[in-house]
Amino acid sequence: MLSAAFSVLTLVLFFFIYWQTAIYETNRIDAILNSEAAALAGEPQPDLVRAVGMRLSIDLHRITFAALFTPQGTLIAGNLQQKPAGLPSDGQVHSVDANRLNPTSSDLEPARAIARVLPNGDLLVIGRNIDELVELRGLVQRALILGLVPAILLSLVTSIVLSTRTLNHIKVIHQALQRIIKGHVRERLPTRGTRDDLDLLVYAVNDMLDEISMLMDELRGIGDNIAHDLRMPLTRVRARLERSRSQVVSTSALEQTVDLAITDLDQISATITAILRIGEIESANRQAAFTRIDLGELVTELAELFQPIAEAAGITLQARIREEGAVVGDPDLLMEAFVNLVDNALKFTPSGGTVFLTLYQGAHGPVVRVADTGPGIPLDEREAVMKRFYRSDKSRHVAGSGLGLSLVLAVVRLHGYALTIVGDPPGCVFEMTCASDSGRAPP
Amino acid sequence: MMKSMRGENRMEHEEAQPRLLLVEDDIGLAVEIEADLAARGFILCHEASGTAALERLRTDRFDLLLLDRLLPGLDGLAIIETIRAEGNRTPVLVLSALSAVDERIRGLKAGGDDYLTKPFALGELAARVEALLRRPVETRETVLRVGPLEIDLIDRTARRGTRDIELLPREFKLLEYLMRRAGQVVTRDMLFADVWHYRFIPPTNLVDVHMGRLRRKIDEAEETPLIHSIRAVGFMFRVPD
Repeated sequence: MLSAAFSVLTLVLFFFIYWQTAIYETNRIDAILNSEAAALAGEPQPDLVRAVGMRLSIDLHRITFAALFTPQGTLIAGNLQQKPAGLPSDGQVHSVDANRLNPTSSDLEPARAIARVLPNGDLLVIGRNIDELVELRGLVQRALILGLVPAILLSLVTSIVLSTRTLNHIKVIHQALQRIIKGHVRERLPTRGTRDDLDLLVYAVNDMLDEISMLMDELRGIGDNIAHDLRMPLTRVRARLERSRSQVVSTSALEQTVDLAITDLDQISATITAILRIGEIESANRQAAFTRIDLGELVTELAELFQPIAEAAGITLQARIREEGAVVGDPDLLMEAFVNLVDNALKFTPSGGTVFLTLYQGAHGPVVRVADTGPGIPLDEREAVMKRFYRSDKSRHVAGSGLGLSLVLAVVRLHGYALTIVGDPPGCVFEMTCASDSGRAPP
Repeated sequence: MMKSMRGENRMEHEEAQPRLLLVEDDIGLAVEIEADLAARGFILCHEASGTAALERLRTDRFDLLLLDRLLPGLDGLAIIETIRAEGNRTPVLVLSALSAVDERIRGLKAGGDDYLTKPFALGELAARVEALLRRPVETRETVLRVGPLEIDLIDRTARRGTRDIELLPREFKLLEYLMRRAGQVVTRDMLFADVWHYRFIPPTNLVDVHMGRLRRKIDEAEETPLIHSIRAVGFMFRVPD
């Protein structure tokens, strides 16, 4: 289909070029004839005969016609047997068939000619052979037949072959896709190595499948973690309920069992809530709710919120605001993230320790630093800590969902901020660089 | 203890028992809620589907509607929108297993008055029901007095009897919130949302610690305590008779 359209287009183009060339050539010849006829007509008769003779004598290629006829049509001088048939004596250039004196062949020659009546009644005819144009036309026809027709055929055949091959390839791809849909997630679409559009598409799809597989593996890991976090308290609840059902000692013992069961169920609920919350933060289009925030205000509020908790735990909480920290973001989510960071810091800091909250201007933007004098996070654990839904074995013994950092990371990702753990243990220092491009900035 | 206290309040105010309509398709949960709220002095009616609830609401009057968010037949939010469009102003407490903050906002936007995420403590539910039935005391006066305690809303000062109490701004807000709801249980979640205006769940016992601090300032050693902890639920500001 496409190749047929292409062939037609080529044909039209070819013809157009021929047509334009022919017009150009004809116009050129006509202009020359017009000016020559005008020049010759101005000559007196004896000079004119000589001029006609001269004009013919320099015509080595025998392409020029020039002749002078009496009003009766008798040739006075020149190389035409008679005035070409159908040539009006109107001083305009016309296409005619000229009959040369002493012709090399018996055929009339195609020509452009002009006939002009002179003041004394004689008729001046000059012309030019246009065999070249006729030959050009022949050339175009031959080119069409010899070149274009096979080319069209070739392109048709090629396109049929190619489209058949492409169709076959698409069929293979389709079959592979069907297998992937049926669950063979490790399978990839076949490529041909031709780097054509289809191949590039296949590469892109394969990359996407790789990414999905990776995410699925990650999710499976997360699923295992979450299942673990939910199963532990569930197992406890179940065991306690079962035991107290079979060996009821006293009402108070039963009450205690029920209370413990409720506590465990609350923990399960908290874990589920935290997971859903993280999912919500990650999935929703929250950038719409972004506004200008004064980080200084947020940090002040944070310190005020946690001051009593720190005091109760025998920890010093110090807030240092070294700059205004105007950023764009979701104030509620950022507060939630900071609350989790400070909460973690307080949980892991022993009594007598200090938690520092600092807002300062970093190289890439305002930085909120939460530093504590607790044990810190071992260097080899830091990468893992930054993964989704990671729970440190240590954090399992501390109250809460243990997903606080995952939530912080979700908020950080949403904002395009960067969260880093700096320095060596002991002491844990989290730094949140609050600039939307800091995630891409070099560490 | 809570039950008896509520009984006292009832008699004091000579209120009729509030009638509640619970719309919940999980029968097991409905039975528990009914039993708990009945024990707290409420009359509970139950419907299991949205369409039945809508019919009931058109013929019967209730003081409060407890509405499950996801119901067979008619969605909870659609019910709220429908009855609100029909001019029914009955307060609505939405109960939902959808915990998302956005979901909560959607519930309140649709015309709900409060939103409680499943699973919830029954005490939390009772406190919210109570809070919706008894809207806080809105006074034009600039001084709020409950028992021996007096706070000036303009000067932001507090006094118990003749003793001046120094309060931080947040503590003042906390106290004002409690005094406006004297005799009423307020939960940690209610306080965190209404006094701190945070829309997330506090990760620690934040509210307890702040409340402890406030309580030490309000109730000194030899004084009769005004701020009470309600086990597993929250707090109450109460002046003894």
